[in-house]
Amino acid sequence: MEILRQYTNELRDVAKRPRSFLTQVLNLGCIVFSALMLWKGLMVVTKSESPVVVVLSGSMEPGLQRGDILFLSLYSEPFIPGDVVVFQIEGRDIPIVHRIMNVHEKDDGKLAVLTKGDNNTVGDRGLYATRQMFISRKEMMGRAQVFLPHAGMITIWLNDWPWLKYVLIGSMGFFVIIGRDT
Amino acid sequence: MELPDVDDKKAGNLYSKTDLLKAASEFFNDALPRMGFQEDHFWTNIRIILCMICCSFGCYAQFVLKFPKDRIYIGVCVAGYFLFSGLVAFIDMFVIKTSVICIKVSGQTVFVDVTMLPFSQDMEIGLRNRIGPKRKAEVSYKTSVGHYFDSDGYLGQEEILAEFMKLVKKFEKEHSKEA
Repeated sequence: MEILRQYTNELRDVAKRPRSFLTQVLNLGCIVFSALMLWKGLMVVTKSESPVVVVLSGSMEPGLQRGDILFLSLYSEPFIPGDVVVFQIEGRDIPIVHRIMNVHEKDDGKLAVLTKGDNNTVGDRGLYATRQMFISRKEMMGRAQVFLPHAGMITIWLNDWPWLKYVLIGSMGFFVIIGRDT
Repeated sequence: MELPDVDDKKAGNLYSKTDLLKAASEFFNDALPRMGFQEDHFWTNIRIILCMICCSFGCYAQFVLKFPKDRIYIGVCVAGYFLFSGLVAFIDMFVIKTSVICIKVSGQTVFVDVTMLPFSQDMEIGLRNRIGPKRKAEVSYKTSVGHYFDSDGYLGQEEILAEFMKLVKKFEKEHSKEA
């Protein structure tokens, strides 16, 4: 309780000095935007809307485990069978990381791709939208280039317990505002 | 020397460098303007403006521009953000450094630095200035934190102010020699 009272007093002291308060708020803004701009920078360089993803399920075992981080890109090289790709079906929240089994390219350049998880016995038609037989280029988020094993377990924990995310980010923001960011 | 009317400053943890520096910093920020030292907000204003420009780039890239349609413009915003953020980092590293307040002494802009090295019991108070492009005056005094803080963590305002005023006199003497 003593420490809570101390932090509350520190917040009140910071709020009494408008210039100092503004500086701390801008510092917090710069910290948040640094992370966002790094993400945007990766998006620009890799041309992928989601340049870093975490594997959430075991459908690609043994090659990719739950908690592995994948770095994606969406350059203009053609998709070929064997590529590990991340795609998101319209209307579904969570993207899927699976391997390309078949690629059909029409004369007009339209792509029809069939995917399957390495650890699944059947292809992904059951995961696609109703009456959808293949996925198209617009559903592709990227091709996996590099992976970091188990580096994304923290993301999984934050996903499983969302309150942990709010507590961590909220307390970090509070400490930056009261000037304890060092 | 008359003490200005400033609330007691207390370090929450006498073993925490952050708490000790925070208490000293808050004291100087409260006391020095009340003692008649004029604050110089030039560099802090520059820093605030640069941070606002950074945040503007960030807000524009995040909330206005859409990917992949505006990919090039997002790239420009990212570059602009990191350019201005780099300027802020440059000012923090080479100008503001460990300064807690910037005041005018004998018409010169002076940074009041309060530092503690890691794992050290000594607190150093310094006055730093650039006089012209090539010359600079710098005076400092280092002593144990026990000289300024009592065992309950309260900052001894008289003691720290006395050392500060000695430094001001020393600085004015150095400045008149340089000039």
